[in-house]
Amino acid sequence: MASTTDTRDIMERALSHASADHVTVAVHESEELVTRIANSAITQNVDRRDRSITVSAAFGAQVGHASDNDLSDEGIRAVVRRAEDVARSVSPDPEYVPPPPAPDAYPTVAASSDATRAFTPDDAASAILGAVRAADKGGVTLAGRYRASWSSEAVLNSAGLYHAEDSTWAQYTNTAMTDDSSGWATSAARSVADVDVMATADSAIHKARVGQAPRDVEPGAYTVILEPNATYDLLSTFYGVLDAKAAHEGRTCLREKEGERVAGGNITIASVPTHADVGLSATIEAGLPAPEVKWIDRGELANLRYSRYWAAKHDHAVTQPVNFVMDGGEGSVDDLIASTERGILVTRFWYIRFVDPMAFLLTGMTRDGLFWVEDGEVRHGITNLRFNESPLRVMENVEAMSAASRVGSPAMVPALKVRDFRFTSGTSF
Amino acid sequence: MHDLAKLAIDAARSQGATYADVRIIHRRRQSVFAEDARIAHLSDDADAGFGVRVLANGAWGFAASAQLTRDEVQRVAERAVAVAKASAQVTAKPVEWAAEPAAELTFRSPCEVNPFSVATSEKVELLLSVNAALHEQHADIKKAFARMSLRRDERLYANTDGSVMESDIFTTLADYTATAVGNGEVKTRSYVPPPRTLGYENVSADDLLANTERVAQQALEHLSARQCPVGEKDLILDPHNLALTMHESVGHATELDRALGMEESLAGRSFATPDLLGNLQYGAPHVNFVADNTLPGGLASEGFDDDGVPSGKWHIIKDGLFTGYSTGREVAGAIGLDRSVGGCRADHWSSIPIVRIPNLSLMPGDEPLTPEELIASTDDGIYIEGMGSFSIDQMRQNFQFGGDAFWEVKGGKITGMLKNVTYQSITPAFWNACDAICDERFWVPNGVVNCGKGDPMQVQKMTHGAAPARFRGITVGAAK
Repeated sequence: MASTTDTRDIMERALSHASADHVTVAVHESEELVTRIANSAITQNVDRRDRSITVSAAFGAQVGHASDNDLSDEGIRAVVRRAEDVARSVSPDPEYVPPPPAPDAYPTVAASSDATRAFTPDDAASAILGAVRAADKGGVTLAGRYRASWSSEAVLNSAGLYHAEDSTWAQYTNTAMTDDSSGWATSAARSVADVDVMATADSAIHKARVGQAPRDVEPGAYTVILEPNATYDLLSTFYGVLDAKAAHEGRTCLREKEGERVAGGNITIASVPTHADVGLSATIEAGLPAPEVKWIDRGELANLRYSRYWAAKHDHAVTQPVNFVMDGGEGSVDDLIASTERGILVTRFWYIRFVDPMAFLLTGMTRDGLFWVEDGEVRHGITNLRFNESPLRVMENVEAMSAASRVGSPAMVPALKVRDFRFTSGTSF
Repeated sequence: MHDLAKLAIDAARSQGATYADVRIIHRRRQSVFAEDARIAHLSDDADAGFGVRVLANGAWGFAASAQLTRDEVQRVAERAVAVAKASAQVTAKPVEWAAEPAAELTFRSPCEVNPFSVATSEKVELLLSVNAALHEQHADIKKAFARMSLRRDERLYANTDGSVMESDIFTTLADYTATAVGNGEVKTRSYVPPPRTLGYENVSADDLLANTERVAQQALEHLSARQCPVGEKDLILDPHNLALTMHESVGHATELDRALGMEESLAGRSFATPDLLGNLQYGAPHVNFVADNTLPGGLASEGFDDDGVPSGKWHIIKDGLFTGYSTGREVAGAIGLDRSVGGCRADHWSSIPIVRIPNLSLMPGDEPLTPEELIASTDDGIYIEGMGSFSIDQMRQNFQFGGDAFWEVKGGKITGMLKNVTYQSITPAFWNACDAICDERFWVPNGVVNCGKGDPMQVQKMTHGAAPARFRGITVGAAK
């Protein structure tokens, strides 16, 4: 996976072709390898790359955008022309904010891995072959995928701001299956060297085997132990209700909550662009430097997400997330299990959707590894359950948490032990 | 472009591919998004590129690039074969797919007015007029969002079977949402005319504006609606609500790749396994689901699929019995079918074709029946319009859906609006609880334009037509 070197030149040419008062040019380039596994074989295998340009043009506050992946000189002229044409067709935007000047500095983010860029489909196949052999030995069927990607983002504007950055991300995932159970695990990092394929396969295989002959439990409120990926599945939805404008207009559950307590005192969630493991980008909207922001600080709603317009209107800093970093406790998932008299261990959730945005009420299913815990031990698998629950209630009800760890997305998240988690219906599998 | 397509096929074959196809696609998108009295986003986007899919050593490889040059086509074709040979290191058995005769065809979606020939200012003014009309209804309408999406996809497809096919498809949609704030509540109401593969004639300014008063008033009424009861109710679902319910519980459940475990790593599997084909009473005897990718204006009406199979029409559920799948050639071959039904589609030139839900419709009832008559014959129920919250398990059994607006039905009459209604059921139980479907006069071809599936994620569109239907004794109100 190799990047091209003429990006700055492309953006300069776009600026030179423009006649608008303000212009922002961004170039995105990416390559992605995705190898999928089903029924213990590679079933799909994709290598794709693209490179595109986006132009935002403004005459006064009349704003238009256009993008294209024709990066010939003619193509660059055309995309500038389309952006300016649509800008001229619209009335001035009262919320328009001109492009920012170059900032003094950006946070230092080392987000690109040479090992990931050098990864090949043959490397993926070799790794997967080992996992499939382990699955065969374990008597389970294996599904999953290996994804390795590289991307470059560059931005240049007519006020003199220029920034370019590369990032890589790799993730390996397995679902192991028996006739009546399944187990899931994942490993992700910026470098493929930090992706542990065999540990992932072994974990998925173990879960599938332990979960065989699952038993039903009655829907109801239970103490749950959410593994880190389940915690992330549920609590990352919090970013979807953080918009300051919507909150100030009374349209979200966080209206009039800034500075108020919204979670237990043991909950702190932040965006940390320079994080050593999950920092991937140094920029936010319009190429501004990504700030470190605490969203929830020891239970208090410390910040909402402010766009440039809303920040200026309210004399607030621009605050936007680039990753999800949640403070954890000490110990492991096993420690949480050992401290639980009766409860349910959740590997991950699936198909989470908002039911009532104002109440921050969500519904979703458990998937690929749901276990009954009793007297400090995993006793047996149980059939999957549907929940109807609010992350705000969950964050009030956290009794204990493990140390934070990497999950499938750019996030650091602990496992949580949560009381009174509400399941409302079940399944036969 | 035909030269490049031939080069890709020849290059793949010379590298050892036993099968190869290429798609060269040019796309255009215009998106307009209005928030209250401002245009929050206006963009005019284009992209082009090609994808080469090959079978080599019995396994699949795919590579794609945006550079439409001979050198890059040669490189990408060779890369696709190299990827396939990597895949072949971990295969259970060679791919054996259903045969398909070579064909040449050209398909163009119906289009009276090219949406890209209409002045952008006209589109902008229409959406701003809609928002202004919503706000004019009442001061408690605090927010109005209107959007328009206009698309064109030009595709050239060729394969080593000798097929050469071309399509040119426009897709158009415009819809809006009013948000009312008051009485300690925030409630929305939307108007979503069917998205279609038609030209700008599908965007009717008169129709959009004519519904603003009703939509705003229902958003306001929603503020003081009673809470959803808890228990079992008879549900009357309008065509738009049904579109999403059938999409999730029938459309995805009857994709053969899911049933064979091919999508386990992301979207999941299906309870509707091949051993149930012809044996499972999926729904009540008057429940018929027909897939029709020849439906004029249908969102999945593309002339041919990305396996080179011409579009067709077939039953998924006939007289309540599970009788058919959506297939691609690979999965059709895997269960011994002679031919694929033509349901393999990619959302982009850089995406690999996968089995997708077709235009899948619940057929109208045979007997004359109006929505008013359906309500009049319901003693204790809830009438639901529009799409809302939706969630379903990875086997497509346990689902919970909401809606956009809800009314209580008592003694055959609508007695008032409800709020926060959700219904939960198990797929076969739900469709077997269907006891009445209105007739074809009330059949509406709604659609889904954001169907996610695959890895890397692909987003597809398909039409789901239905007439209002009733379902007896469904659990409601569990979510609170």
